[in-house]
Amino acid sequence: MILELNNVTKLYRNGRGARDISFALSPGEILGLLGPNGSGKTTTMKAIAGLVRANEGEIRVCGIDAITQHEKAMGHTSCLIEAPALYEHLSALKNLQMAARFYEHVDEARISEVLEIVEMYMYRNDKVRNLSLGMRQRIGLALALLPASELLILDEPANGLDIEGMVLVRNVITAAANKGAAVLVSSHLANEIQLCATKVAVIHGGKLLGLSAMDDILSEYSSVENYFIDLVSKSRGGYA
Amino acid sequence: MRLFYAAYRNETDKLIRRKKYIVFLILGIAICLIWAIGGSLLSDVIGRNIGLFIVLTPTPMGVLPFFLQVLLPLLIFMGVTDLITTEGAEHTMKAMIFRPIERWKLYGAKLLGVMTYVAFYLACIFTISLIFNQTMGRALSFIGMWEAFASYALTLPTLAVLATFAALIALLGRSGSLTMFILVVLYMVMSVMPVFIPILSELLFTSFLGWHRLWIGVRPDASRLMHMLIIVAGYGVVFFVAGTLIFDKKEY
Repeated sequence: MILELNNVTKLYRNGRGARDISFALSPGEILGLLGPNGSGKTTTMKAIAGLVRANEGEIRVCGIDAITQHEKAMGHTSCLIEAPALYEHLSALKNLQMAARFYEHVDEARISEVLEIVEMYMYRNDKVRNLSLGMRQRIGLALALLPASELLILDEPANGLDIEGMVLVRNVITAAANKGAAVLVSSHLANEIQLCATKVAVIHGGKLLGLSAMDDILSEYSSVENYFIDLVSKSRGGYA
Repeated sequence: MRLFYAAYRNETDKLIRRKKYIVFLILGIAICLIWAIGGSLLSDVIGRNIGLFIVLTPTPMGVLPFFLQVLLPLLIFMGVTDLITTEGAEHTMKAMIFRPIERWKLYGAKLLGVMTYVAFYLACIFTISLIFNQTMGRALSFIGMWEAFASYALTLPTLAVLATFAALIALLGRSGSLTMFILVVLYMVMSVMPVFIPILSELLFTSFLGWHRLWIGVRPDASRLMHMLIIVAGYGVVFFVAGTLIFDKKEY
């Protein structure tokens, strides 16, 4: 397994967050975390990336305890969580070069390669402050792709992107999975998840309501959206 | 060590690529020039014409107290605020946290980045003020130059302690400008308090910023130097450990 979450709970002072989240991810799998805004998707991803500390539970990346051995676990992980973390006074290229210093195998050729993948090579010398929202998102994606990690975590990666950008994100996700990476991608849009994920986890009110393979979902429901609505209705004690 | 070095290079890069740090350096050079010209005018021109002989401290030592008490603390406060508080507020801190590096190493790299710039700044000021001094007819002897160099080098440990203190406060701040304001106020209070409560001059680390004067020239007794060294080292360790613990627990 590339990623294992066992009963992970992270609650903020206001009582919101994620409770008792468990799932696992194998190489080549794309798990779509589907849920409304504020449902706990980002919190779960932040706990894996070490941006917040889980109150309870266990997180393992490639068998390494990500809570106690953050450095080693992050050597197998790359992330794009919330808005891309970019230094506005630096160029897009400098942002990538700074990230590349942490990985022995990432060189200038790899930096150029990921800039080509996200179609931002021609803007590489532009200061981030001069880039549009969509361009920044593409640079954020390039930063996540840079180390070609075993685990790729993408939180709402299509935010701010146009149609071509959204297609690009899906292609990037599929390509990474085809190369053996495990991809955890979140979205509040069911259609987006349906188009790229191999497994879907529905998260609502901080709880994991269901986790199924895409094939199983589509054999029972007409769409992932209906699957989501059914699970949420059942959790409220109602009917779809 | 490779990862720490990567983080250190990043933090240094982030600082030196901000224009305000270049402006600060130009300001420092201008101050050295003004001091050198002013010193030259006062001791030579006025001295010859009016018969009043004024001796100003040679430039490297003459400008050091001003840099030490005013500009370098401001530079340190700006550095830690930019690398810690502002990065937290602008959500760029996570760009480094989710890289393969332990948080204490990242925190250490940030402090070392700030101190590297401070050391670079001091080196520039020393070199430029020495050149101005030597070329404007008030040349220092070799021993004078060595003492000036030693004085500049000796300021680094106390400035490092000030940086660990500022970083600790920066960790608690949520806004860059507010943190900067709080740091300046705290520094002013700590600088003024020993005037009213003299015993604090033996205890507060800010009182030791000019400790190079005790090492150069008239030597104090060994026990007093040891006492000061222990206090400076103690403050540094306490501030760094406290900062590391807070940074390790902080959520971004």
